[in-house]
Amino acid sequence: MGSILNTDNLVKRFGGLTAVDKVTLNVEEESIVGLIGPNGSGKTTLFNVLTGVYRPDAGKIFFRRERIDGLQPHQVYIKGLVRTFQTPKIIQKMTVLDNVMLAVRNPGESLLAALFRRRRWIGFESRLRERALEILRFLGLDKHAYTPASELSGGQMKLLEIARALISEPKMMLLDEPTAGVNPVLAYTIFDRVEELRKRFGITFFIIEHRIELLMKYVDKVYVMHQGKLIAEGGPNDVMNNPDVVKVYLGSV
Amino acid sequence: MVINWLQVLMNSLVWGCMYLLVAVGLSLTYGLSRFPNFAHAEYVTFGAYMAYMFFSILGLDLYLSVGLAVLSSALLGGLSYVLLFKPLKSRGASLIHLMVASIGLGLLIRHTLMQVFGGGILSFKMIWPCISIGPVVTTPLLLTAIATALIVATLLHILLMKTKLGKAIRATADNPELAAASGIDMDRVSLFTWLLGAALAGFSGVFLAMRSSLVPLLGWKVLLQAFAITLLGGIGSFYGTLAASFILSLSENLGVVALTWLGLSADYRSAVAFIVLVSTLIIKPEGLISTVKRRA
Amino acid sequence: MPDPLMYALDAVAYAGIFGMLSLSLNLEYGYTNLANFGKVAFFMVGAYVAAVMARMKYPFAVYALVAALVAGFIGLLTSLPALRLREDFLAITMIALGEVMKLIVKNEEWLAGGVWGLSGIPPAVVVQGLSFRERLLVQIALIYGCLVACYVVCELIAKSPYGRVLKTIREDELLAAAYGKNVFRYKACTFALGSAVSGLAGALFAQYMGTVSPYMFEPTVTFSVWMMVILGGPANNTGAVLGAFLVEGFHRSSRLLKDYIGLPLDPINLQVMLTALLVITVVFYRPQGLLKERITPLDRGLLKKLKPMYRRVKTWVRS
Repeated sequence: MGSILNTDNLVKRFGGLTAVDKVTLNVEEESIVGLIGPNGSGKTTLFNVLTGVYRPDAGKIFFRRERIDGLQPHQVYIKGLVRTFQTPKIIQKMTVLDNVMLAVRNPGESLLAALFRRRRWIGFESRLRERALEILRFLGLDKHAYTPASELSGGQMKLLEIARALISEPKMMLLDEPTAGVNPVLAYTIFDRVEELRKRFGITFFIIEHRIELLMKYVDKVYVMHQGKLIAEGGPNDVMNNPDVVKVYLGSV
Repeated sequence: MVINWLQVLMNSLVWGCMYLLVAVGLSLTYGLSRFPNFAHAEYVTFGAYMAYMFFSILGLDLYLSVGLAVLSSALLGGLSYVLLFKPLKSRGASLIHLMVASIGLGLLIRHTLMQVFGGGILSFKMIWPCISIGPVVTTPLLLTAIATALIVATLLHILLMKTKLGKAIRATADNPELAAASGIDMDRVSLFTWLLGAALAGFSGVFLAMRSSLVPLLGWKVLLQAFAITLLGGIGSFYGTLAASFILSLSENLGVVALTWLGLSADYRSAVAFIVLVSTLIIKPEGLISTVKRRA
Repeated sequence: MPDPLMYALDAVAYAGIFGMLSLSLNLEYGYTNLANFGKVAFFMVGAYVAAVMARMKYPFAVYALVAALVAGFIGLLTSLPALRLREDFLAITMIALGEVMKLIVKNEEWLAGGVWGLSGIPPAVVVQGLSFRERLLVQIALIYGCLVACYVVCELIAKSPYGRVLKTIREDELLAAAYGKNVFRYKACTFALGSAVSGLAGALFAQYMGTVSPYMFEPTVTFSVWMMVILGGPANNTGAVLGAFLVEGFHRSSRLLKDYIGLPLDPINLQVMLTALLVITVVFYRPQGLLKERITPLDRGLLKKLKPMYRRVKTWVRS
């Protein structure tokens, strides 16, 4: 298996603060890699840089052997790299189903097609709806498909985020704290699904998590970030026993 | 065509001073309350009409009339903040709603004035003797305008730098959350800014109307310049506004020279302000001196 | 003393034209959160293009289309730099643009008649031997035909995947971008379409009024259209049209009110003052407007109704 995502000395500064400090990492295809670190260490910022929300000040990003730094977020998505958000970005004024369906590039999304070539996308739209319902069923949300998304609970919103990421059939998913605020049983379910998706569809996962004990059961490799720098990488056990890592976590508690 | 460059400079100075008085209030309230108040133009108009009412209709002393006009404008600004904008903001009105409400308020003020004073052209019926200072021609009115602007600028500088209230204003403009957390009474700061801004606007209205004539669109005609200056100088920054007023004024007057040379109508001088506005937004939207953090 | 029926019909005609403006702003603001405060500029462009071409005896279908295309094109050009601006900057720029365009029209007499404008615009549909009242009814039929067409177009857009993207952009641009939508393209497209519809409304207005002049296109027009959208309820096309009727009705009544109050008030001043108060009241107490946004799944309703209609039309065309 080759590398699907790797960066070379990635840097992002905000004024005087260096949020991402010469980060060089590599994620192998079809692996599940974790990213841990105390709050404020720059993990979400790293995700933002990887997906084009921020332009890096220095360094390169390669996705499937193509350079993607400098691309806009929607272009990164088209390459097959999808991310979820720490705080679920739910569109309140749409149904749950619409929230999921918007994730896919739809021929009906062009203005001309919407008005004049309806036949082109009506079929696509109903097939998409079937897929969306299936995914919602997979995650236990199908009963809420036609309700406004604002009526979901916090945990359900997290699942909606994941449903959205799933329906886009990405090559790689960046999950930002997928189990935050979710009950432990559901948290395990989410990770079980992640593993299933890796096995079934070969999706690579790069996951920010705070539930370290849970994360360690599923990942092949872990990166540890602190104050913008990667201070450790390796298998779960090696990292957990790394004195630097322990110090950083004890110090921050 | 012979161009009297010193006259051009003089005109730029005069207009810069008048624009400064208009724009300061707009910039400060925009920075503080986080929305552009389109009714600001009508504070200018209101001040002019009030001066007219006190002086030309009620026959009061000139200086008294102007003073009362400035106070009335301040009152108008304060009322619009207390009765309209503050309650709207506390109800969580969106930026667009605030803008629409401010346009509505502006129209309300303007048409009330039109109803009371008629929609036609009014005049203060003052004849200003031309004063020649070397090759430059001016009038006592314009010299007074310059003097007023300089005094106001100095006073504002002292206020902002040396007084507690001034420091509170600067802190609030820079970082409202931090200012509130530090115990600054945001309400008092805001009210003062709105009163001050409208007062200065009214003052400028008096000069603008006395310089030419008093029409209902008096303030609206300079609103574009006021916005261009506000954006160029940096929303919420007094010093930015100060610099930008003169930069714009100079550009406009040079523009008029160019227009005359090209044989185009001098009405297009507003196009200069438009170009400055658009250029600022394209090149450096935060303006020269950015005090307000850009909303992400 | 004007014939009250004529007055009412005139109001109906105005309401129809403004209904289209309202729909276009609803598309821009209600669905995509674009603060288009320059609506009157595109209305004016459409009206002037139509005026010039109508005086040259082009048929309505031709000049209406050209007016819409020109307005749409200018909208597109404007959107390229302008849409990157945040809402308040966009608003300021658009209002300024409208004023500068009026300035050009007022000063360039060769272009558009300067301050005197253009007159002698023939109506779109001329049927011989009709009374004044009947000609007015023909106008209304034309205007409302176009209004219905615009309404259908806006509804189709709102209920399509394109509309779904617009709503996403409105609520959360970053999310839209994260899921592959080229946010800028959607905004520009929507803005251009809205401008084109405004241009069409302008063309109808020009042939209805018979003359155009810069004084017919003050910023109060933009303000009234905003009122219509806010009052009717943003992101609801029926609401947009309803808002147009209500505001136009309000305009007319407030002008008539002068006769009943007995105060020496100028009707136009009274109209503007009351309209301003109305807008302030609405923004204060019911900013979400009258009709709510519909959060229904996409293909219910309209699609199901349209599919068999589409088939029927096709078979009719083929026969």
